[in-house]
Amino acid sequence: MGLRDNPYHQAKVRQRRRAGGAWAGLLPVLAAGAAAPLAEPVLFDFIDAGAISAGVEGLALRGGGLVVAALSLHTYADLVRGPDRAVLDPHPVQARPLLWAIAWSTARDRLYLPIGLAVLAAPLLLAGHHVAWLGLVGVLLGAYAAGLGVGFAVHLGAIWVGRSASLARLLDLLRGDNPRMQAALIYAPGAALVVAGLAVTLGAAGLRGALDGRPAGWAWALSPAVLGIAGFALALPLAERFYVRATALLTEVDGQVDHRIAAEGARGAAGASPEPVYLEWTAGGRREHLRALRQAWRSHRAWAFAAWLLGLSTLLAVWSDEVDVTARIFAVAGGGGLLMAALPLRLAEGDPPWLDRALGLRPGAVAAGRALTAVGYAQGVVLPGLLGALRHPAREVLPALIGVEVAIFIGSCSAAALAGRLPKRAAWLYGGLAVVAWAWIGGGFWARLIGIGGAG
Amino acid sequence: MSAVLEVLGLQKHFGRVAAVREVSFSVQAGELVGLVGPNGAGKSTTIQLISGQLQADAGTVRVGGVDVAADPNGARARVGYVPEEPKLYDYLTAREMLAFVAEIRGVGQGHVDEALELCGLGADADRLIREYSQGMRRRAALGCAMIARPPLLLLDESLNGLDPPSAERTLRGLRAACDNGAGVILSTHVLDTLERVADRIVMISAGRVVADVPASGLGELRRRFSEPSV
Repeated sequence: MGLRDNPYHQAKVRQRRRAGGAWAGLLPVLAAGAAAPLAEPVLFDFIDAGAISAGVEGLALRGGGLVVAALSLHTYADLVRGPDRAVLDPHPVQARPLLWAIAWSTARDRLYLPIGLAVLAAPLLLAGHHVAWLGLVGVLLGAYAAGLGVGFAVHLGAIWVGRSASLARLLDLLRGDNPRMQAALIYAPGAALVVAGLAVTLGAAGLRGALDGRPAGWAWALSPAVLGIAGFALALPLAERFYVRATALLTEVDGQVDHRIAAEGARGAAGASPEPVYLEWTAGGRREHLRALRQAWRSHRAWAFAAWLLGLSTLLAVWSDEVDVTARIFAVAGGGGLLMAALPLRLAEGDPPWLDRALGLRPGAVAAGRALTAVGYAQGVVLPGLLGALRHPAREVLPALIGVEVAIFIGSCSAAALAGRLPKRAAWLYGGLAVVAWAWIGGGFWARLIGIGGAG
Repeated sequence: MSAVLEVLGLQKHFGRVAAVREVSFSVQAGELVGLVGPNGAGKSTTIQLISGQLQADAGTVRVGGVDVAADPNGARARVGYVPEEPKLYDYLTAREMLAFVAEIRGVGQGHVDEALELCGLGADADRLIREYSQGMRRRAALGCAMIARPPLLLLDESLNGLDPPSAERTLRGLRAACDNGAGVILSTHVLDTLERVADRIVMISAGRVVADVPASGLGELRRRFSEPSV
């Protein structure tokens, strides 16, 4: 069955045409275009140094890593928790055509990732390194294929793991406070990232080899794309076995979570205080802030863990022998911090515009609560960087981290304000602004402004 | 008559709370069964277990002879299910949505007009579903459930939000489906409705079947349970 005869695909095409917003994917690409010259001092300093192959390998590794990280989450959101599931649940499903339709839709919606990164790498092309740029774009497209193929396969495999009686004890060890079955789903994006990330590492190293004159490197450069195709080929039979079965698993997980929330509500009604959440002490007496913290922990706690994981990369960046430590802090912690600053967008998701008014909450206080929650969560990215002060002069590390904190604060406030005022377009607008802001501070603007480091 | 649904010893726990305990009953072809009980009694959980939206801790559900746990997709093909809050593609029209369901269920497009007629959306068939009221969405979902004439129809509080003429039309459609050999389970808390159309009443309370009686015994049920939010 081709896509033309695929009823799921045709239904999606029709809806997309009517829902509008087709321009939205252009925004990150335009933002990447605006960011390219701003980021040049940090991302493309290797051009002047003449270290093209090593520099391109680094770009392919980081860019490809970003693509597979994003797609490991998007494939979960579209396949496992996507809007199709609730519509299709009452009906029998033809899993292969459905997976093709979802994959096509996900691929189309996220095409801005490799294209945006290719545009961001334009300085390489403009400097006359055409083959290196084309090779980089090839690895990025391979990473895109790997993120999709591996993502779908791993998430469908996670349904099997979540239902498996023989793996129940392992899941119990990993699940923390979550229902057992959810443990498999929680760790699936990480597993997809590791598998696809390994292929990207090979691909980037292969590209470097090829640019250094070893033709076999081109074959290695293709490894992410090959893995992506293999992953999708594996996902098709997995979809037949597990797409429908996932519904019962998700209903079970949701039922257990609802039950826990109801029990907590009953505790609260009985006068007992509800279980404290991450960073609850920062709320003081502000009820909107407390509400945002509770919502963030109960619905989006993965963000807290992700922040500390990103903090690990901040630590590695400041602990390295890199001469220009400030540039690394801006690029790594700045990028991670601005990502965390997007949390208000998730917190506002699905809230009807009248809800806060009906609850008697002030929109400004709600936005402030969400912004402060994001700032709190983002500390996981920044704080490990303080350890860098033990290795490098504190006068370089501390102002750089303060710069990142300022960016996080402005980013969180912007995301919260956009989520409240323009809920439908907020994610795209914030994404575009964040890319430019990251390039701006990462490109050495802040460093020049306060006179630190060598990025400028 | 043959059984289109057999439910045996069904159990479901959420944490330590037993939502459904040892529930057993069957539905024969051509039979309309009212599933009643107070809020939180376990009606919706029972329906989710029957439709395969949830997996039982113990017990079996067979729809048209197909074990729901072993072959959930095969069971779905034999069930027309309308959840309490049905989800549809908002940017399709009702006609397009029904045509889509007809295609994925493998029935001809000729069924679309008939389903539109049945759910009373003929005049609004070409409007986008996002413009529909809640009642109209329910009717469209009902059309989707009935379009392939499955042997079992499962309706979870599907009469809620319908105006009286729409509710009447829906009940007539369900009765007609029974006359054509389908079995129907209608979960509701409005007993007056059932009194007129149901063949049998299954009452659930605290996760257990506390009564399984012919519809003529509804008056006695009312007295025994003094209308528990029913």
